[in-house]
Amino acid sequence: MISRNSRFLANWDSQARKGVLVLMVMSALSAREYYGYELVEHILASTGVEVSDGTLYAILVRLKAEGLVRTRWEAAERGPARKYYALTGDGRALLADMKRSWTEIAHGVEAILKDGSGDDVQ
Amino acid sequence: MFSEPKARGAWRQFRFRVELMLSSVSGGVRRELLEDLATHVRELVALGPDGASEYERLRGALERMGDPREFLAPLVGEAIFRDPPRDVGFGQAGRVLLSLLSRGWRLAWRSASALLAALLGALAGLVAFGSLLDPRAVGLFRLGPDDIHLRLLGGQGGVPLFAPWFAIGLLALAAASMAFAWRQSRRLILEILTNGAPGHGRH
Repeated sequence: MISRNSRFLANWDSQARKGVLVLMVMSALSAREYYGYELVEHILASTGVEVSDGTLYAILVRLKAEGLVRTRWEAAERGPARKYYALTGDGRALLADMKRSWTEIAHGVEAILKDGSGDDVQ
Repeated sequence: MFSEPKARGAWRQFRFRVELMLSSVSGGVRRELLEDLATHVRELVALGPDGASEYERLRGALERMGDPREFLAPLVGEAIFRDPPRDVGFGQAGRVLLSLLSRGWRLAWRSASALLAALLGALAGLVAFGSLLDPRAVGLFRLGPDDIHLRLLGGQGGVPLFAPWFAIGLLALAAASMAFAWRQSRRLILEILTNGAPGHGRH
């Protein structure tokens, strides 16, 4: 039962993190432009959330297809040219809405957690 | 993209799996996705540990990327990346089979057999319909006491033999060939998506 619960927790944890990943990526890109590797490292350093590069790649591709990020190439000191991603105007507008929505969700979840906090007391 | 043969092989295999997974996505978008992915992997390889071989750095990069089945699933599911419905299904299978023809003899043999079966099925179907529409032009004909001809492209004279059973038999052959081709190609594609390309070795 314990291993089932821990598997459930691991799945839930992964889903919850994935759910806010787009918000984190867009928020990071609103501050400055990043290339892929740098963005993964930035998210890990600032949030502790480990993102696979593939997951990030998929998010960036989707954001680009939706016109929410733009890209530009820049020669790197070492290795091949890098592709930098930055938020577009549409992306910034959407991010503002997403932040509002996130704040509401966070407050709602916090309220529910507070109400249910007595359940653990025997 | 890579100079070491082992790294080239590993990249080819990874790219091949990705190509297959993106086979339901329209050609232009697929190329763009693959280019983006290659850029991403090149970046990771370039930033790999000093002193490691190109192959080792590529392996590290691909590990960081994660399983393509997982990270590509949301993209393949997005309507904006997908082909119009007409190209999904048979078109998708056809594209994959054609791409497999140049991927080693084992894959080439399996994809060629599926393609040949599909071709045979299509031809048998066409002849069967021709025979049903014009039984005096297409089918099996007796021209003389010991002279029996099979006419597939039309013609005149002779007594039709086994009409309409000849056409019905051909229709059954067409359906069987098509079903075999479809099953074979579907099984091959799913196998590659699940296990990677057979015959290329694991990296």
